[in-house]
Amino acid sequence: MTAGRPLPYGDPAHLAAHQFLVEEAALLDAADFAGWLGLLCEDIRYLMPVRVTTARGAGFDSLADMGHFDENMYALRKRVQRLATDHAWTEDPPSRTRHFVTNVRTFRAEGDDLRVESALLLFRSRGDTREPSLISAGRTDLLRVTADGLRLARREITVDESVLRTQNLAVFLLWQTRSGWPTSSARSWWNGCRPATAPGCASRCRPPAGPSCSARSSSRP
Amino acid sequence: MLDLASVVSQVRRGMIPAHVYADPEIFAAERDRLFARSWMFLAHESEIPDPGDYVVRRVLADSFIVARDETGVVRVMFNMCLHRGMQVCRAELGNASHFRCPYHAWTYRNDGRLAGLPFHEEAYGGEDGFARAGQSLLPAPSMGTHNGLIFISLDPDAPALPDYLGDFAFYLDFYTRQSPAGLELRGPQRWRIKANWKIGAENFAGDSYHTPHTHASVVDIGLFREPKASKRIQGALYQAGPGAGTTYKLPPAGNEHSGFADQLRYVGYPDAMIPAMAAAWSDRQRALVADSGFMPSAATLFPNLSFVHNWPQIDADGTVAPFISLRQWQPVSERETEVLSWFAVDAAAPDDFKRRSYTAYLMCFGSSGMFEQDDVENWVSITDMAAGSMARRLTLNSRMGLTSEGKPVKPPLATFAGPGVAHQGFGEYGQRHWLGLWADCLSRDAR
Repeated sequence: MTAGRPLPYGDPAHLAAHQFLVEEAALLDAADFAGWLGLLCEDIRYLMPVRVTTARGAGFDSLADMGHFDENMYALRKRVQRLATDHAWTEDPPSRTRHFVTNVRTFRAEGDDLRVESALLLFRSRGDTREPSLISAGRTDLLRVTADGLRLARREITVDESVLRTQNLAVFLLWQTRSGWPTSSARSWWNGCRPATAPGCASRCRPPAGPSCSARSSSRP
Repeated sequence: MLDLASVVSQVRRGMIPAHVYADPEIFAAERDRLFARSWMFLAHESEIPDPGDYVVRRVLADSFIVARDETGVVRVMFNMCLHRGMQVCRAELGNASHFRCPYHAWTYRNDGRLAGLPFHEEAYGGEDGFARAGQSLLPAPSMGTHNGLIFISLDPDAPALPDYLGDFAFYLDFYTRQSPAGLELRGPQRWRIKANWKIGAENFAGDSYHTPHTHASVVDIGLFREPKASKRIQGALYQAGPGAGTTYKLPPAGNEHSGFADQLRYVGYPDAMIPAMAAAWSDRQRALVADSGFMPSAATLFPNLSFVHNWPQIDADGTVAPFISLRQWQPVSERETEVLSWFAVDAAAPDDFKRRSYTAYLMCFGSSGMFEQDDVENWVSITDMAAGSMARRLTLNSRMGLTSEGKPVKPPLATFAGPGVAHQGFGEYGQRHWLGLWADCLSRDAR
């Protein structure tokens, strides 16, 4: 999954990538969603495959053809737009959330791009009677260097539960304000983004159906 | 102390004691009288296409292996070792010729038959001491398939599946047989919600009334192809056999000859798929869509398998793409439900259609879906409120469509093309139909 060695922690590229993720989390937890959308490339792909329980030798532990998310910019904008309406009941009153971002490793990718792996723990609390929920996930991000700084071109989220213990996934956006749509200045940030050079599906995805994906037990008593 | 007879009699009048949505005694009765005897959906044959493919699914606390054996036959086996009771298969999907228990290595073929056990000769004295022949993981007491849908019942005396499905089979075809190739299921997404399992099942059975308000946000953002509440209120609500569902009233078709194709094009089916749909469906099924302009949307097959068909706009160009989802409200407890939500698409559909349809599904339903998010918010809140003392003093009115004397506010549709009974306009007909089946189950003996 990971080619090459991670950059040393003192490497300016690693420091910039780490700061990008921390600043992104700060924007989300501060409900500055216009700012968050501005960190995304126009050609972003935002993926979260369904994780499954398989035998150790099966060779896959995610579904290649089914995700919790498989989003482009249009879909992400719609999700933001929805939460900004007066009728998105599931986040009104909004969740209280905290994104904890750790275990950041940065790798050189194609051209000036950086591939950044991180661990995410999302705490979510709603109302006053419900138990809070946690989502633990790994993320593999592709960060692109633009004239305006780093921008997120691709994110693949490897969630650590096969059965999510949270009411829904309205939370990745964390929209809590009424400040309206991404501003024109936010939009201009996307203009520096190049076309996608997105890598293929991660190796732990389920391979296409067929005999090749079998992990059959050959031993007979 | 639960007075079940009183609860059942109130429910039959469309008055629902609110505590039924969070009551452990009701849940125990449902487990013993309803889930112990009903036909339950487990999987679709497309999830296990090749010999040795399996998925593991539950009926409440009972785990079953659903496997395609070496000869291609689908088997459903209770996932508990005959020897000491260990869970034999602990993955949720894969491919295996055999299942070997981790405890003492008793090993079963993928058709359930016991293939061997260690030291059979030395420890058991061979066949004399323990005859392997005829030993098998317990098969599901009853099993049946329809359009590739695999159902089981824990009741060995369950009615035959076709008899159970009855008139609802007519409506099942709209979701599960759009061509002779049948359905392809992907997923499921699985997540747990702190809601009683009945609420989702009832909602999909007939609650067109919630759409304009609960889902106002998706109208606001232009995702919904049918933004006008009037489209919803003009839809027909039908109840047939063990199921009930909703439809949308589509705009009038071009002319009597093009009606069927026009309606399917309107909701985003490409011309490449329409001839197969026309061939797969009967005259009456085509007439429902073509002549009446009723496009099936949400439905529930009692007890806990629901269907949804909708057609959002998935890009800035206004491309309309239809999708189908199957979803199961799998009870965990009286206050918690595991939702299993599959994306379903005609197996013979063009690849670019499958992609669009998948996008439409993810935007609308499932763990991240923009419709589903707000549905579940309601269901969790109802369950929360139903758990206290005051809920035992409140009876929820589910009588929409009936006068206080119990007469219909308006007559059923006289010319509805499908079987069963249908009404046009809002009304809690489908929910009462579902609740009537629920009351029937709770009135019979426990198993």
